[in-house]
Amino acid sequence: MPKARSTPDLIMILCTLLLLSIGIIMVYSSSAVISYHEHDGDYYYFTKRQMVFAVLGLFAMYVTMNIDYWVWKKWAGIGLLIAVALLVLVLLIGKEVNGAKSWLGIGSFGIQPAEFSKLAMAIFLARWLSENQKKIVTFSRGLMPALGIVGGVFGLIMLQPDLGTGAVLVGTSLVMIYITGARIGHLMALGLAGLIGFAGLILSAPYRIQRIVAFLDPWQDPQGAGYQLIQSLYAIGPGGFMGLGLGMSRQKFNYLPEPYNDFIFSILAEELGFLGGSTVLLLFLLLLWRGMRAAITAPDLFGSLLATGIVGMIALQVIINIGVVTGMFPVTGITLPFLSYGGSSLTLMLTGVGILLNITRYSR
Amino acid sequence: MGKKRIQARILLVGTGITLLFIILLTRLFWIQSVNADWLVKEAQNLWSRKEVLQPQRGAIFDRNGELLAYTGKAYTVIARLKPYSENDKNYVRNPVDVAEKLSPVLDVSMEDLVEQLTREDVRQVEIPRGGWKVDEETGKQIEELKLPGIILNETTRRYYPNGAFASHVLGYANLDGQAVMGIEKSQDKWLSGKPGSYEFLKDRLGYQLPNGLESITPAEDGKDVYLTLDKQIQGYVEDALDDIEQKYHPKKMTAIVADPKTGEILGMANRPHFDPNRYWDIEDYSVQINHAVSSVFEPGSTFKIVTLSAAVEEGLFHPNETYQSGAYQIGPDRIHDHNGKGWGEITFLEGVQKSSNVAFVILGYERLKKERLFEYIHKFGFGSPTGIQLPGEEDGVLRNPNRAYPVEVATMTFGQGVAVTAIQQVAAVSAVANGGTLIQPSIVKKIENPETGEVIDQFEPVQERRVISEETSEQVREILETVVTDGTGTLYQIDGYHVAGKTGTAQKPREDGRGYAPGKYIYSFVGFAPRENPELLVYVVVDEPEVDNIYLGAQVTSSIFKSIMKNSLQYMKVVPDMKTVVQEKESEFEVDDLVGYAAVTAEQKVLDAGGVPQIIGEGERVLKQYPEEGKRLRKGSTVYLVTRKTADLAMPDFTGKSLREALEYCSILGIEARFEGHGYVIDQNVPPGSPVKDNGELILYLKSRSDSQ
Repeated sequence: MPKARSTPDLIMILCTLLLLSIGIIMVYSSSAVISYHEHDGDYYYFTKRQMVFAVLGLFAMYVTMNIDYWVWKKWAGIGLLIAVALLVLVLLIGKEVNGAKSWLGIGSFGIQPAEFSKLAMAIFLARWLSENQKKIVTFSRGLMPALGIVGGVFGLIMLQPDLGTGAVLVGTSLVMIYITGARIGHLMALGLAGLIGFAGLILSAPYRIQRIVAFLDPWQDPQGAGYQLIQSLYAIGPGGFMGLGLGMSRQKFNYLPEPYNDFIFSILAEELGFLGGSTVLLLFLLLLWRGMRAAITAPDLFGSLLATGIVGMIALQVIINIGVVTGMFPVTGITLPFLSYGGSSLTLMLTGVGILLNITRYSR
Repeated sequence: MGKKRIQARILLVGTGITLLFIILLTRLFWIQSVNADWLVKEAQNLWSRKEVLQPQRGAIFDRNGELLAYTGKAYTVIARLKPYSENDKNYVRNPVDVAEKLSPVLDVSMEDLVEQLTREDVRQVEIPRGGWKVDEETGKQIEELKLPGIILNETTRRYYPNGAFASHVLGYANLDGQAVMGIEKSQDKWLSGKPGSYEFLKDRLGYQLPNGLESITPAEDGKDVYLTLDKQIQGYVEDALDDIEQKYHPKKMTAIVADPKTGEILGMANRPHFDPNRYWDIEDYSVQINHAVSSVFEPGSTFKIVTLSAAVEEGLFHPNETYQSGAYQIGPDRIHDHNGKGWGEITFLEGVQKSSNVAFVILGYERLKKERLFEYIHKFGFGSPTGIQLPGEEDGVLRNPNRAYPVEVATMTFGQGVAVTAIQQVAAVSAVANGGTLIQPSIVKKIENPETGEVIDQFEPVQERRVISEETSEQVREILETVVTDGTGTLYQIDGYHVAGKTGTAQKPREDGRGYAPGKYIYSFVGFAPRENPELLVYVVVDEPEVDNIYLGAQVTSSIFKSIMKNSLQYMKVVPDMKTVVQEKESEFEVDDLVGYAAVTAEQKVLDAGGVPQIIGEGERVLKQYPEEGKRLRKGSTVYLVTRKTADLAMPDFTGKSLREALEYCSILGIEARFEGHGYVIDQNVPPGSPVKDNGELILYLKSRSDSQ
């Protein structure tokens, strides 16, 4: 199977670096004001940290880019075990932020086990599905065990709770199962069951209902549930086609909470307009296409599945994040890959891209 | 499953992702083009903020540009109670310590401060009242204390540099900047200016965004107001009133100084008064009343000037014509002169000098008659406000001529049954003094733009109408001078100047409206000088000073009048018009030997000497006197003349007498008396009229007058 490796996909590297650079610039632009107020006049607090994360992430990307992807097969089981252990740990000793226990604190840095679990799950599923490809057409011996594992991890994530990450994990897994050859009928049935389950989850927590209602008509409760979305639209709309200019955002002045985080795209669209917003979306799309190409041209099923998993993860996060800030989905906390501020998210995404790049080195 | 099918499924997923991205792009484009205008409009409400730019309030000056009120720097003391962040140390960490240091500087009690500084419900607190808009000096003191968490916010407030000075005229603007009374209120349209505006885009905390300026309309500052008051003359007025207030505690006092030729008010003050810098200390709001324009009262004898002027103008007054003084009968009613029995047959000039009521009833009621009397009263400006630029001016009260009983018309001629304001009196007597023209009294001289110095509005004297002729004016001035030289006004003479004027001692109407209250007087005097060409007119009204008798009451008004008039004439460098200096009347007199004289003769002798006779018993001749012959007494002191043997005397009525008077009285009668309380006698245990002897101990109950109301 192994053959001489070629150069990694340069277009993919270029897209990643461009998005990463835009991200750092936008983290600075959107966080400077808040950083100044909250960190004793330091405009660069968040930017400096984001740059450290970026360096760490690029290092991880460089390393994984040079680790032959099938090596991960050996570590798939242990990786998932570690992920599960961390998810349990975060429930026990995690730090509660905004009503969710998502953080394991280490000094002034913290990690989010849920982010790590997405990648671990993708690697594990890629191995499991590639080894059990024949069984996947059956419901009880193929689909059920796979979904059992996914469901278990999803359950742990929902205990934090973190619906956004959970949804990405499940969505990515379903895409991988579908690629492997699961029957459409099975998936349709599952999809229906999933929808019912999802509805149940939403109805079980009142704040989720509020968010749903808020996304349908944010002006019903402009100071409460609808606040974030309205503020986001007040950023994006006035940005217009050309934008207000880099650094000229108004909404970052304490109107939009944590504008350097989940809502960074709103500030980007405000300052750089549709021109900037669509450029970012197209860069993502190009990156994803190159990822799809890697999946199609991977030398083995494990490689195809792993590539699809990573591509699906990135795609789902972009779609959900931008869908949220433009009011197409209810507000769920999910980061925009490469752009949003946050160490766990950024390093994990770059690690994922590193694995993806390694796969491209073996494409036929 | 075959490789091809897997690849096909990957492609399908890729297509799905691409489709979703197209939807995202479309949605983004939609928001940024179709929805953009509406969102911009909505967001504008959120971002835009309009601040009012407060104009600087104009200052108030006297006629010579002396500062009376201005708006200056002030500080509001704010205490930050909770830190911004973990590193923030600038907040109140030790409330008790901070309160201890602030309490003496702010003049706020420790308790109140600690209560404010330990509030849990707020992040920061403005220290109310004492800490609100403190002056610059207090601000500096607080700064020097260097207390963590105590912040001074710069602002402005109104200052009155002279304190309780012309406070009723100036009034005040409160800490909110609202004009509450006085000139501040009446000239508010000039003083207040026009606020400007400042529109900008704000962040969520209200601060201006970079490049967020939308528009600025600068505030238009208020204009300066120059009064006709003269700070120097106002000072004489304030000093004179302070002196009397301290000595005699009258219920209230008013003094007005005017230029009779222009109607300009040069000084105006009342007691009680207040410090407009600390208006919140006022407990009884009646101290804010400007009695000079807002209180109506019975003028009493000073009103006789109106009757006299009308009679002279109509040719009904002949100075050497005689009449029978004492009493005048109108139907069932009998009007008496103030001494009860008159002075026999005297001339009308003497009648005016002695302030004989009967003389004025003849002149006003009998000769002028009702219609003409009312006509003159109206012409002199009574019954309607003068129009001076001060708020709250009253009309006064005149009877309806169609319903007035004859006796009511008769009493009006000498100032009873008519209610006026002090400013009306000033305007009317000014007309007599200035040659016969009623001029609207004024207190605002001009309005000036403080930046350019341009005079925006200038107030010239408004001549209302001619009331009496020049000749009448001159004749009345001469008659009024004789009141001061030879009549009831001798106390009011001033060295070097011919003073003309008229006294007034009015009994106060009872509070229940039935007749007059015994022993309660309003003393007044209106006078002007120099007589030939009056430069100044001073009107003084003193309500219930704590004095023993009427004579001393008149000395109160004369002391005010003379100190104001004399100081002001000298300050204005008015050339003295009297070559021979009148010798200052002695303030003491020697008691003659009166024993053996007829009671009536002895009484007159005491009066002539300057004392007040008090006859005890109904005998014909004086048997005993107190004090003894040769004793020197202050003018106005009582001389007791006993006309009966002590044993035969009836117990007198002590009600209304002071402790000293009662003591003297008792020692003459040889009665042992005990006193309870202090002030004035209000009751006695032995009824008046019963024999002095065999009544045992006499107990007199006293009460201070100021307590009684």
